[in-house]
Amino acid sequence: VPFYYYPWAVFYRKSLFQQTRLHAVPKTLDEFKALCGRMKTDGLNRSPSPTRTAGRRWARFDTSTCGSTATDFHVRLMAGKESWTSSQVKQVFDTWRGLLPYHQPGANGRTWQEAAQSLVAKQSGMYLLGAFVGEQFTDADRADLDFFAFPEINSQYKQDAVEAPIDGFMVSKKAKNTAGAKDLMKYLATPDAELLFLKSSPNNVATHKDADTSGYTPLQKRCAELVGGAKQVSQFLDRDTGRTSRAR
Amino acid sequence: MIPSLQSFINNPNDIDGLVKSIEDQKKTIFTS
Repeated sequence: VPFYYYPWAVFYRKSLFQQTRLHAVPKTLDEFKALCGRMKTDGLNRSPSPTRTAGRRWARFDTSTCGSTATDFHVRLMAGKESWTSSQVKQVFDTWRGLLPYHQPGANGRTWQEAAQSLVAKQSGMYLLGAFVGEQFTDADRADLDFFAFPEINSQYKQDAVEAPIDGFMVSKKAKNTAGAKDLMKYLATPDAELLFLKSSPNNVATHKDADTSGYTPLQKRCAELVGGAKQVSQFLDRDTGRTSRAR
Repeated sequence: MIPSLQSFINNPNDIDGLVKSIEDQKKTIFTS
């Protein structure tokens, strides 16, 4: 049962952008790198970049592949039908390599939560992550959180693709009370259940088409707009291939 | 795959070796 979704984007603190010289949102990779360079000069890390939790890396890879190649190439790659030694994949890693000098060092020893705290503390200027990064902010600080779509990598694909996984619930095959579990699932599938949860964690967007969005925070509204306006939406890794990954 | 990405972070300069090792692993997954 799908429950909520969240776009991946470049998150930052508005007050930090206002305090420094960082006013313009970068639209292209060159503009993005120029901004990273200015932040580095100012003593900021562009991105906290955690890798202890592998999913974060994967979603970045998805974002990069969908921005540098056609989304259907990404889906075929995830389905095992394209070669990882292809020029398209090498280009993705090469783009990523070009951004690594701006990252906070020691990424392999950091969880995403630890990395998010670096953004909260304004030690890092930007963080490419899902909207759930807001979970690490206090209510007061969360109002200072904003994002922009990952900049254009290839002019052919512009900013058409957005990575926006859906989280949800499943019933175990070994459930002891299957009937009860299904009743719970029926409830979880309602707009009321989704909105009740989102009230306690206003960082994601309800999946139900009838969920009332009038109570959303400005950030939630922008998340919904970003995904709603995307020409292609990727889920996460091979979730778009209709096959369960054994590599995960 | 996870070690591949971690090794890339530590040494991003061997992309050819990196994608070859991922491709080798992929073949073991998709042909089994």
